[in-house]
Amino acid sequence: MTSLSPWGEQRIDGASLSLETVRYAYPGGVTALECVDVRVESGEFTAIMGANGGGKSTLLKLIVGLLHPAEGRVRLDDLVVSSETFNQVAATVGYLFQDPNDQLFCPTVAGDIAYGPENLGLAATDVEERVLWAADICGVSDLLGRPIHALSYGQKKRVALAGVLAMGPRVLVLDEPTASLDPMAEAGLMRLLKSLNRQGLTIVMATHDVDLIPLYAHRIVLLRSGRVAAEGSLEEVFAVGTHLESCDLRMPRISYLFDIFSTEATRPLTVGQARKELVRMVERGQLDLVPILLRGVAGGSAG
Amino acid sequence: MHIAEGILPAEWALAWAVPAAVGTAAGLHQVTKRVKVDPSFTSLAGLMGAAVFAISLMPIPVPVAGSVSHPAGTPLAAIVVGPMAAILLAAISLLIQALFFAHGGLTTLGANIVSEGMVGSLVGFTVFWLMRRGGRSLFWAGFAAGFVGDLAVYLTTATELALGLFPADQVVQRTAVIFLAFMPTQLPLALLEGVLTGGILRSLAELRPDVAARLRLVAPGAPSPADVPGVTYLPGATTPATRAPLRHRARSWWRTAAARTKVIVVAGLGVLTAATLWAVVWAVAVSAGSWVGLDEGVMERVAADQGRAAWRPFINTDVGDLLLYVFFFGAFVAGGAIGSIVRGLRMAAAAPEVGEPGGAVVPLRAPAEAGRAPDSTRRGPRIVAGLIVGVLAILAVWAWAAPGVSVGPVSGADVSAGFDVVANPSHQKVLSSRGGDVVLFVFMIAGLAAGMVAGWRMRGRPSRRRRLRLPHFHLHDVRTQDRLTWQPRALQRVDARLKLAVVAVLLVVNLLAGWAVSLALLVTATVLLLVWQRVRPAALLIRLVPAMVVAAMLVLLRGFTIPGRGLLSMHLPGLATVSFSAEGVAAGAGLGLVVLAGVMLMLVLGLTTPLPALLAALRWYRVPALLVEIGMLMYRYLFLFVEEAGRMRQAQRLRGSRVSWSRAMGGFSRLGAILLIRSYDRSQRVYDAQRLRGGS
Repeated sequence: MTSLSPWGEQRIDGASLSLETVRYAYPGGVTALECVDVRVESGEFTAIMGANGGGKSTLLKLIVGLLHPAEGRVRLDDLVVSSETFNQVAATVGYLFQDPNDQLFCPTVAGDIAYGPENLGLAATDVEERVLWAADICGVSDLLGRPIHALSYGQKKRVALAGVLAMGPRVLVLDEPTASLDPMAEAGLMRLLKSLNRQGLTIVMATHDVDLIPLYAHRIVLLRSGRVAAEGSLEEVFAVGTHLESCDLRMPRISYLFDIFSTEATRPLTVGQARKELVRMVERGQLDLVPILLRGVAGGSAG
Repeated sequence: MHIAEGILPAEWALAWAVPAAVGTAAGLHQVTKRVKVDPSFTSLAGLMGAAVFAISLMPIPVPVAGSVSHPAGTPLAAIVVGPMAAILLAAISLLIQALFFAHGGLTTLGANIVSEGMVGSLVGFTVFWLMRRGGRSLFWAGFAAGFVGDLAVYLTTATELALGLFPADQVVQRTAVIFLAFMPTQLPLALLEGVLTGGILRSLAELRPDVAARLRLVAPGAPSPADVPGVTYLPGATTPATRAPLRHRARSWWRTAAARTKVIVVAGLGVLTAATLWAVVWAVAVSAGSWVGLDEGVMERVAADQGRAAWRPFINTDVGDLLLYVFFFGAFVAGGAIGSIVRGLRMAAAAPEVGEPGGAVVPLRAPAEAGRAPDSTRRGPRIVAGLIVGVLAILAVWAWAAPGVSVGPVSGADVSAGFDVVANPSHQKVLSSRGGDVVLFVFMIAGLAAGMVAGWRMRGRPSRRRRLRLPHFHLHDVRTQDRLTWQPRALQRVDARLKLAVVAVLLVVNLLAGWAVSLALLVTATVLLLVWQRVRPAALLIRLVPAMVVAAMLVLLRGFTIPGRGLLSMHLPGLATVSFSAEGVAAGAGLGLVVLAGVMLMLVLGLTTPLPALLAALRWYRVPALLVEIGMLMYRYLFLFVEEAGRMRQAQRLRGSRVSWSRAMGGFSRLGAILLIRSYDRSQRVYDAQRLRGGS
């Protein structure tokens, strides 16, 4: 790494956040969120899931203060998110838009990544250091001098993330970050997020990619037409298949493992079953799932 | 039309810069005030500016001219973001066009801001406002704003050119002449601008009433479904699905007597207004006295004053020379039409019947052919042929009866008069009973025969409709240009601030010094770009085409208006004798050289420097931050919108929107409206993105 990260050498001090009985209605009168109680601990990786129109984006916008709840409140550590605290919230929370063309409004890559740090009032050398650092970890160092409109979609997405990270946020809020990315770009992005999360960054990510979540997230919040349908750890939410189906989602491809664990808890996964699953996974190229399967076998044997 | 770099003399360039600066400052002030109330207005103005810019880059077919053209867009911008903000946007667009495409110029920036920006948006907006006050619909108010605004822009441009190029006592007539010269292409273009402006506004209000209300186009009402995320929004959902097809609706509407009366009255008034306007302008242009340089008598006197004999014009219509060729050309065109029609009829007779009923599936006709009547019933060629024959007949009668042309027997020496002008200066007959006639008829028959052969052969080609495509900037060119500027070559490494300063100084030198300096600058800049920067000659040439057209026009204009030795004299019976002078050509060529050198200097800047670097350099020279910021936003989103427009246009074409001109225009209007709506929505998100990273 050529430059220091904005958080310095130490662990990232991720902020916690909570939504307390939040209700939100759009000007047209349609209620988008109702009675939403969600708590995200410091350093947690939380996935907000739900079908299109389920209220995911609205929830994220409430967190960063682009929208304000009609009832209830949103808190970031002890800070109540409101129009008065907007600038403090913006300095704490990094928000990645779903469409990078919305987020990248400067003409060049370097200019766009520097936009946030410059607004933080940093010295020119610090700004430059942050730009180099963010471009480096997002893999866009070779694009710094290019105009934005000449980039591919995946490159734009990475530059947008670099622009957010350069501000050194304590919470990262992402709206469908993997939408329309190719598999390699998707895996690269998720690995980067996971490594940031391991350093302590709180991450909240809206998605309906059910296969991605079990590999990276700690907790899941399931939204169904503006209400929390289920909330909890991966095992808790995925254990009940009807939760997901009631939200117009499907079970992730590896969920049958959880099914096996929960319904046949007394009977461990046999070596024969495990081998069959292993072959199926390799055939499908789901190598990421192999360690989980092996852990499952080990856990099953222990139980 | 932008006035190209170098056309206006230094004092006029400076004079126009003053009102332009005032207008831009007023626009800046207004926008700053609006940003204070509504901080998202910066991104709204920037993105709307980019959208209008993108719309103005869409090549729109002009039916009369047989080519494509671009709408100006300022009236639309004024209606959408307000007149003062539109002036600022126009100023920024013109600056970008000058710096980026060398379209327009830096020394003529002031004049262009006054005509395109200030007059266009103020007149357009006033007309729109008055029409809306008068209870007109969005379409008609927008149409009037676009039409009148466009014509006002051209009238101002004509005035600016006349003021800059002619002595003060001739300004009124010259303005009229230049305005008239614009008319053949500009009248259809202005109509087009009107149709587009009105169509875009109507579509916008139909598709998104909430956006229309926010932009103060309509009174605020219920928010549209698009306000609420997650609700599927169908464009056009506001129109009931049960509406009858447009043609039926139009027919039943036409049946009511009131509607007929309305149409007839409006059409009559329109024709009357146009005719009166035309007559007044023509009368001013033709009869207002001192046609210095145009009058042969004056020219001869000037020559005599300087102790020289006046030249005999090379071509002299007084003796019927030109008419011979007019008849030849007319016969050629008529022959062409006849040949083409005859072959078309033969082809129609030979072709098997198509479109027989019986098949279950109606085949989708190719977009270009669908909706057009079969060849055998097409009336177009017959009308054209009839018109040509009619014009020929009128010409024949005129040749017979016009003053200065006598009919009667000529002496034997004049038999070959049609050819030999110099030997027979007294010959005045076009149609005579002896040899002259024969020559004339030989010419006509030769023209007719040649035309028929050409028409016959043309008709046989697979693609008959060949469209003349003038060079213009569209999607491809914008991106190519942009790519060129980002290549890391020799001149890119020079600091943009230095380049900007040097080019600005050289532009002023170019204006003030003589043609020799301009020639030196032109050669230096060309060599710099071709050799050092390794720009392809073709790429350079295509960018110089507009400047070359301007230079050629200057040569013509000067040739006709500066007295001197005649090269060509045309006697227009009843009007005047106009002649073309050698001195005028020389003066025009000198001015053309200044224009070419100016444009080439601008290209040195535009082809070697990315626009963001130029805008940053302007900021360093203390250009207001808001102006630079909006310029950056426009640059960033221009490409996105141009691409979006291109994709939407393709989608429309793939679904057959080219069946007719009116449907194509409907498609363009809808496309423009969607582009505006998308840029509006995006501007709100961009504002959010800016806020979240500590901006504004």
